[in-house]
Amino acid sequence: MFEVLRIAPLSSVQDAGRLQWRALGVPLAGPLDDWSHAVANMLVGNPNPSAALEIGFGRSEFLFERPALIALTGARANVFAGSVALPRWRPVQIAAGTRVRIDPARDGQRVYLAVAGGFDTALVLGSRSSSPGAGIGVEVLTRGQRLNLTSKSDRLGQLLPPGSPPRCANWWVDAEPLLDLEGGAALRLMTGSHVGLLANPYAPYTQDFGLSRASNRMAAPLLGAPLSVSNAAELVSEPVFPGTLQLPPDGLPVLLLADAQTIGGYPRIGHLAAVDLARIAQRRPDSKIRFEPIGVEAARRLWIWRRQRLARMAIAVSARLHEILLR
Amino acid sequence: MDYECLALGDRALLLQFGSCVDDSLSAHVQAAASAITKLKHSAVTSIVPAYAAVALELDLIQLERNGGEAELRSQIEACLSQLGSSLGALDSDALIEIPTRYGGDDGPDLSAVSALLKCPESEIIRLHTAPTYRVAQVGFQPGFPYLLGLHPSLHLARRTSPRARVPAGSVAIGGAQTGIYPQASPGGWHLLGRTDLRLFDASRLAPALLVPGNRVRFVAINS
Repeated sequence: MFEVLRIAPLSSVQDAGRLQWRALGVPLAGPLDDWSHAVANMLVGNPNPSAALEIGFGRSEFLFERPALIALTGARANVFAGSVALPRWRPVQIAAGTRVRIDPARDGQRVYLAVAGGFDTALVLGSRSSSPGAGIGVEVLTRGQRLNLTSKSDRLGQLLPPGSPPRCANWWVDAEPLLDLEGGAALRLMTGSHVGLLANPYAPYTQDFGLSRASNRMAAPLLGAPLSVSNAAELVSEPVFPGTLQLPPDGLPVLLLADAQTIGGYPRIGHLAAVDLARIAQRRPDSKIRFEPIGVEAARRLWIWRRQRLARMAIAVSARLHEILLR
Repeated sequence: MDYECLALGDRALLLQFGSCVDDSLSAHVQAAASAITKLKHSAVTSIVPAYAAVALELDLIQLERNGGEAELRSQIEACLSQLGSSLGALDSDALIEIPTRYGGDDGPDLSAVSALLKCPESEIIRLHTAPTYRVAQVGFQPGFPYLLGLHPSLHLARRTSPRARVPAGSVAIGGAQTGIYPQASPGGWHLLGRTDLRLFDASRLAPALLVPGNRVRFVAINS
């Protein structure tokens, strides 16, 4: 029903991920930019979070063999259905036979593509998310791969006759600013248990870092002046979580992301606020990373506020979606 | 049972019971994890036991609806204070045997380890198969067990150059630890042997063969 004609590297199918299997060493998985992923699903009326595509930086093209209701969020990229430019952050109906092309993003790193009804790929440990590094789930998307959509997609898409140009909603949600796609804002970092081991415990906040090109779904290694340790204690390995900032022996911090290992032995010098995981997911390797402090309670409140905002948006969108689909 | 409760960022709490690798501490940790699991607190989405600590991963919406972090901490305190110092049998202390082919192509480092430790291969196999190990934590890869109880004579620094590819099922030692690689991966430990058991299979009802708290013995078999 859906064919991958061309695909950017590090692209995969992601839903909420695997929360229940952490004690067995199974990575969380799920979207790196959970905000864009959630909004995309919401725009096509999917329960959050259904399986959607996380598309890496590069050029991608897909063939929709059947009509579909889709939404594109995330990085600022030019997207085309045939020769017609597709807008992002709103639902779009496309006809059978439409080719959707995504050009390399102008700002940001990852684009999210949701389809009404979600992508119907195999469930592994209760989730459709890939963690290719851990050998779990559907492999990273490849050229020629075909994915199933659901009957819901078929039903909703029937409304547009084959060969028609795409029909886009005449409204959109203003959810993009939260991503800081220009990359100017400092990222909010809570203090880590082992920050006392650093020669300068404020170092994570006082220097700029770069983002390594070796970044992937498991981790984002940072570049810059190595942080020196005044007390190199031998640490017993303990659980870690996406957002944990570790300090390996070479002094260059590594930020753990969705596909990271569950247990780590390196010092934990900080934890990224959960709301800012979406922001770091959109940073490009040439961007400058700097951190500012935030307390745990403040970070939790930001997350809850953002979730409440999504719920309010969903109410407004739901009414508008009915209008589109009844036309 | 003394412990410290710290935030692990905004979405998890870490209960630290100690800072060393020790069998009785590990048993306490497993008992604590087991007790907290039975609480079935709606804000706790997963419980990850480790050598000397337990991480609780949180649902922030449920946390807020149920009295916040303070309420969760007091429930945990009440739960752990009831455990006391005598531990009954743990739910998860089943004994699992790992049939292992030592040496040859299955254990390419056995002879090098024997030379390094100045100890005959047969003695190394005996020392490795004698203890009943305990699974302290599972991580690094899905299903990868960190086993406590390696005989001190077998403690050995990792290989100076890690292998690019360690075959799945490899039984290895490194530092003061022994473990089994569930899937092929790069690895820096010394490979003593190999098992055909699948340590992790996502299609099984119980995907991981070894879970925290399990007891493990290696059994030498012939190829």
